Amino acid sequence: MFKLVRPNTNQSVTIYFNGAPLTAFENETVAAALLRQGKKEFRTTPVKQQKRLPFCMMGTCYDCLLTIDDLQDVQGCATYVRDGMQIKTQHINEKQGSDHE
Amino acid sequence: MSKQTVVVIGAGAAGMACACTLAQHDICVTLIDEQPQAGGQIYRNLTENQHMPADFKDLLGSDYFKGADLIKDLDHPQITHHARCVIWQIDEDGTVYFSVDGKAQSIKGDYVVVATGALERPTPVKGWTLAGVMGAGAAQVAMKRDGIVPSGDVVLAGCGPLLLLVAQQLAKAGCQIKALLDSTTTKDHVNALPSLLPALSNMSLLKKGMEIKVSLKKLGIPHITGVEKIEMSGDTALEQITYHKDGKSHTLACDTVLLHQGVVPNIQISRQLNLDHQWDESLRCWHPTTDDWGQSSNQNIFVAGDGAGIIGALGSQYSATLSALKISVLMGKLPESDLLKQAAPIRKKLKAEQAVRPFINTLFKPKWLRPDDEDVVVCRCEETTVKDIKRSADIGCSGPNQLKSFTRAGMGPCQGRYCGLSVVEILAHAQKTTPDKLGYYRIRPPLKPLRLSEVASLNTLDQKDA
Repeated sequence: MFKLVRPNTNQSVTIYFNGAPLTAFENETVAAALLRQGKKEFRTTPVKQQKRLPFCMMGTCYDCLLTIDDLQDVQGCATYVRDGMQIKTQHINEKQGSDHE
Repeated sequence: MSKQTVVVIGAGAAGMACACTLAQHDICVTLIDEQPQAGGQIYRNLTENQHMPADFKDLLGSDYFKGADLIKDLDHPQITHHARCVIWQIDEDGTVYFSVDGKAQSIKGDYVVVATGALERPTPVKGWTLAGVMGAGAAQVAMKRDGIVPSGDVVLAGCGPLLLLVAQQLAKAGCQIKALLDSTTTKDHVNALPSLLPALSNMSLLKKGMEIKVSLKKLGIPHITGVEKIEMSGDTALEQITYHKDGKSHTLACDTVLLHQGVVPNIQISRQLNLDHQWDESLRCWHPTTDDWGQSSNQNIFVAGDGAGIIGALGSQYSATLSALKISVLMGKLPESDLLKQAAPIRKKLKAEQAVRPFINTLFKPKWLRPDDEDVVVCRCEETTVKDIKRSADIGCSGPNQLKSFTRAGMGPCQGRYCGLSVVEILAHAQKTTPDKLGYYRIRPPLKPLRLSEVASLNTLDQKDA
């Protein structure tokens, strides 16, 4: 879980995480918006179905992958929130193919 | 179309310094970067943070805001800054392929400067893949970028200047730091002593280091040194960390663990370009082989900044400026007779940055590189374990590239960035050889995952141009 240490005066926007509305700030990364809201899982891994959260925060580790506006494998740390954005946790199983919640 | 252009990859400390110096010599520069704003990771989000309240700016520190001048200088008619780009291939002739918003483009530079900086070294310890464990540098990026810090109990573990700085920053930000588990030993301090004398030529950096150490004490952070081993555990996410020291183990409940064992050059592009690389025994990583001007084994390609060997933010700016001067000569924009004169003051400053590195590298000798526990995940993407790698070594796996076909290690979306060094350490040890002899993953395009629609869009653009 993360918290803000400075004011964010940017205009607030509504994003949807697995269908539930969340308030985010314009120009915020999707990863930051979800971590700030205490989300405990971005995806499960394809091989061992382990929960993952962002690891590098700079676009190199691909642990923060999400399904955003129906597009799979989008990096949460390198994507910026947009009003109405539909974000989903990703559960791609290498044996069964994809299965979204 | 025949206009001479230099393509600079990465708008961090090195890339910005290089672009600005080239522009000053009347050279047309295309600066390509992943972020929406220039600054790289070290000066990430600086432009916006200049307008933040004073206490937050204090947290980020005055060194951070020194990047403002470089960012301002990028506003130059000779510099075209392409932001939010994902580079996925570079050809040996200097053609750079990249995507913006899912649309692909290419540009050919007469020279290409690779200034892609550093990554946090992979830290394959038990539980490092658990939700709640991230890099210390990652936490710092989150603070700079989005102004967020961990809100529960935090443990920092590993070693290096950045780990100490992040501990200080988070404590000042009001985070609950349960412990700073430092892998630095008394022996490391003794070993570093002989390199202290040359390091004294950079007193300001040493002073900064001492100030952070004093500040950590004042802030009341439990700083435990000589930590031999750590492991994280939890049911489905991080719940606790256990550390081992002097034959005893201690367990701390926590919500966030921030790992760090220094930074290593990001060599994805230099490897994809098949440039010559060399193994650094003390830093236990590779860097591309370059001359005094950053020119690589491909004479059209320069590598500047941390990507050519870890040198820090200031050192990166100096090394990149030297590359820019050399390119200016090669492009006929600076008389060769002026090169040494212009370079001399910059080279002097670079030497001061280099002089302190042996001390830092010995004091913060990287640890925890080769896990004993067989079930530790090494490749985060494909979830390849130590056991999988050792088993492959036992049946005669010849090196990291064959290991890909045996185990899929290094074949996930990160393309080996967070397992390459660990895989090589484990394989080399199992086969009683050295990483240097074993070699590294062959990096092929695409450098980052790419959608077929992006590849298709490249053709369309080319046809329109024709």
